[in-house]
Amino acid sequence: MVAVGVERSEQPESSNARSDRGPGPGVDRAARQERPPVLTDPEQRVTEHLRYRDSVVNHEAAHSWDAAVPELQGIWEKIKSKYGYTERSVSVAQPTDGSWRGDGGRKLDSAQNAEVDRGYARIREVGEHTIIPGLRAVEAEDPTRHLAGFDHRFKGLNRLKEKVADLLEPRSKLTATDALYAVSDTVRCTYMYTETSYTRGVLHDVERLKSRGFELDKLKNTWTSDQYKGINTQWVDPASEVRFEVQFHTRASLEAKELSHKAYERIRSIMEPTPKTDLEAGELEGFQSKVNAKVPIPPNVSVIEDYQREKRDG
Amino acid sequence: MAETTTYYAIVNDFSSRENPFGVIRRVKHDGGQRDEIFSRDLAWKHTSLLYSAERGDLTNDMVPISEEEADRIVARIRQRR
Repeated sequence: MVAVGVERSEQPESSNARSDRGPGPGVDRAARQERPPVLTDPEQRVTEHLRYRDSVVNHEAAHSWDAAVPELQGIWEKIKSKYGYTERSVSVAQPTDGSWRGDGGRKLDSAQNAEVDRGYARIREVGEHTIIPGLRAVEAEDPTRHLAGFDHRFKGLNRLKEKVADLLEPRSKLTATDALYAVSDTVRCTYMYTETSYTRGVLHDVERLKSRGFELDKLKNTWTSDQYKGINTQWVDPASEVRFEVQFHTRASLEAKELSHKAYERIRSIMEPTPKTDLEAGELEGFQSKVNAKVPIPPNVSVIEDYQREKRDG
Repeated sequence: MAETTTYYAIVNDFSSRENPFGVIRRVKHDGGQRDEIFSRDLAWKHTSLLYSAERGDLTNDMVPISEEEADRIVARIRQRR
């Protein structure tokens, strides 16, 4: 936090000029050099006041979240111990006939599996050459926030197949390729802001992404949700029709998402519900609520409204 | 706490609010909760799709519906080939 001379700036302008003449008798030179500057321009004073206020709000948000994390980690450790979780995930043995098996009893037959493999390669290529450079270019337009979790910009193939299998679960005429292209976060990125720059920053970045030619399909503001804090958006690169996801977070909301991710993974891996897994699922959802209850809400975030583009096929 | 069941219509790119993609039910009881989807095997089966949507996954919207509407969707799904 930086102390500024806002409170003392009522001094007449001439005091500035006087201070330029050098230290008077008995004045310690070092102390004078550390004294904050006196702002005399009203516009500059307002700007500096707002900057100072923002720094206080951001500092308090960071402090309250950081103070909550150890307790939340402790709760997670207790849940892990109670249900006997291990850190290493056990990968599901794959059949030799070209089909795929995943957590929670999910499966794709060999034709579906091959479709997803081919489609995934194409989506990654579009991601590398078109989408990610566009997201990077938007990032470069504003140095006050940055992309986070860039190493995870492509969804892992196994998790993608899980999502495709989930979409194929209800009886429908959907093909694996249909389902693959409906998954919006095969390519994904996160912009991270301070609390006070969040609302304005998200609105600006949505417009910047549009001006890069990307089309907004969906925006969901879940800052009022007890399970997940943030804003997730779904976009389309119109030339390739590949979808991608952009998440908008503060540091706290991103860390909350990461802290509760293992709970979510465990819920996803349940195959057959039993009285024990019912209890566990309730407890895991309760844990996610506790984590998210501690996330400071950015000012004015409710002005960002949900959006859903009309379906192109009617 | 008595057992309570909440039904959700799954609405996504391939469906609409009027003709949902599928149906999920969340059963809450004293001993916890479970989520089930009406599956392609025409039976209720465990799902994590509702949890995914609650965590910001944008693939499916989950719209709370009445039990009667859920029954109508299930009947329509049974007729799909």
